[in-house]
Amino acid sequence: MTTGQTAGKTTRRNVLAGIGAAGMGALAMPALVRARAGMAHVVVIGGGFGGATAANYLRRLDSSVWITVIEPNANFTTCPFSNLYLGGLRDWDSITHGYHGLRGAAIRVLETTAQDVDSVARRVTLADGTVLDYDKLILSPGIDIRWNALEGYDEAAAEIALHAWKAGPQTQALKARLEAMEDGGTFVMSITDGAFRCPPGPYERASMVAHYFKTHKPASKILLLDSKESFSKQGLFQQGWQALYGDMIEWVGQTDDGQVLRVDAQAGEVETAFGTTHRADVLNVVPPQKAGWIADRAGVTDATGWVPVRGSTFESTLVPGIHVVGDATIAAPMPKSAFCANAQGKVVAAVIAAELAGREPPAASFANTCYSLVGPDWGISVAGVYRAEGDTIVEVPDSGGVSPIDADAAFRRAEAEYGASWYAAITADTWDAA
Amino acid sequence: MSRPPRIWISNETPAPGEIVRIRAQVVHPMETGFRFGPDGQPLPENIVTRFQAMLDGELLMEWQPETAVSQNPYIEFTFAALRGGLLRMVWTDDSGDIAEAEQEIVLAG
Repeated sequence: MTTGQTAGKTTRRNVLAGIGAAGMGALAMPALVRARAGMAHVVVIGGGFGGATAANYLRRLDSSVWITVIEPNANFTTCPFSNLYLGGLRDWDSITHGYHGLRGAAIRVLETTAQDVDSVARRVTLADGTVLDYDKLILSPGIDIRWNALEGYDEAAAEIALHAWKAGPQTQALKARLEAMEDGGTFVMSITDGAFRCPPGPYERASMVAHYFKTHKPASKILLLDSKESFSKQGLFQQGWQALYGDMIEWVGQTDDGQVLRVDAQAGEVETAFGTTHRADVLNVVPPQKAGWIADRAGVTDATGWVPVRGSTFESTLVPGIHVVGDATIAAPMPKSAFCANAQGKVVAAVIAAELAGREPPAASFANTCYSLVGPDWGISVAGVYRAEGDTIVEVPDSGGVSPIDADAAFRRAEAEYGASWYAAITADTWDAA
Repeated sequence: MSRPPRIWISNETPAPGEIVRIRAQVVHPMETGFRFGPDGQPLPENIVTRFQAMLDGELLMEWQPETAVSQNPYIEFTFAALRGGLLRMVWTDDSGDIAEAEQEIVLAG
């Protein structure tokens, strides 16, 4: 954002950047009160793909609005490409992103947790009790685990039978477990059904663990116990698994008694619906999920645990004035993906910028691509284009599709490269200032 | 219903009055009759129309799945084990095909 800026705007940005650097202590300072006078205040809870994009794009569209992002992590490690970290193809730093880009764009980033939302008084309470007044609120809360929705899987069990479904310490711990496992061991993954973050994620994870085993522990096995009958890009995944890993990966669908109904984390065992017990050397549970808990506090979740939104604006259908983006939302047919969260963040930025300026918001349009890596040189993808029809979201007919099943090695290699380029582009789009 | 039904029982030898849980699943396409084949003609409806569970010859429960039920229908139900006997489960589909599963239940004590 260096072009097209007036000197005056740049000056105000510099002032705001200084406030951001001063952190929360500046909240009580009179100087800050004067700086915000007359400016609309947009608060964004969550600095992941949805929230950071919304903040970043709102700044591009409106140089005067006051923007605060609340995010507990100093740096954000992405779920996309965290499977590549497990496979040894990426290091931790390469999937971790800071907030200097947002701060440089005069967005205040507070490294703390939002504890409560009062949607009537339009206030957010932070962990230390500080209260922020807002004019517009954007929630990008991600997911939380539905503890005990799967028998035996509570917070204590998750320290042993890792989920690693939020990129962070769990992901690093899972890699350590895989590295500590002896050759010839079995990696078992229990996979939930219903709505969950990243539909192809479990199968890419299996692929990357298989790559690690193939190169380090070739006598090991991978058992996928699935609560579903089928899965995202199934034909492409299974073709790639056969070609690259032979029979190392066994997938058991719901009909073949793949649905896990009980986890015994201490014993490293799971039990299926029809009573089969499987023992794991490393057990990974992709558990039932719901919207991140602050969505509950804001009152925007429904009985499903997820957040219904209007497709045209991603405003909550339950609480007017709160926009919600990303994995927390019910946005089907859009999947819960980083690409979708990014696209939704842009739509919300456009809607809020228009509302603050008293204009009609532009028509919403969304796209998604999910790249998955089956092996280092074997990429596959699924893509879709969506638009809003009233409050609902529809897939644009004849848009999108999946990689061809009969593609050659050069095609698969090219898709692996596209995937890496996509990651570089979308993380820059989300966290770097333009 | 090419494969035998899969069943699971929480306890084959329950105490009198104990709540027994049953899980049962049959492999079936549950073709709704609403889809069109490659030739443009509707695919004929063929769904499981009836599931019955009988204990010692007496009807415990009946379920009539309809077109909204997905393929390979799965059912889970409970009953109080007031007496023992043969638990018999029968699935019937539109084509007249029948699948059966049996489990002997013996009251403990």
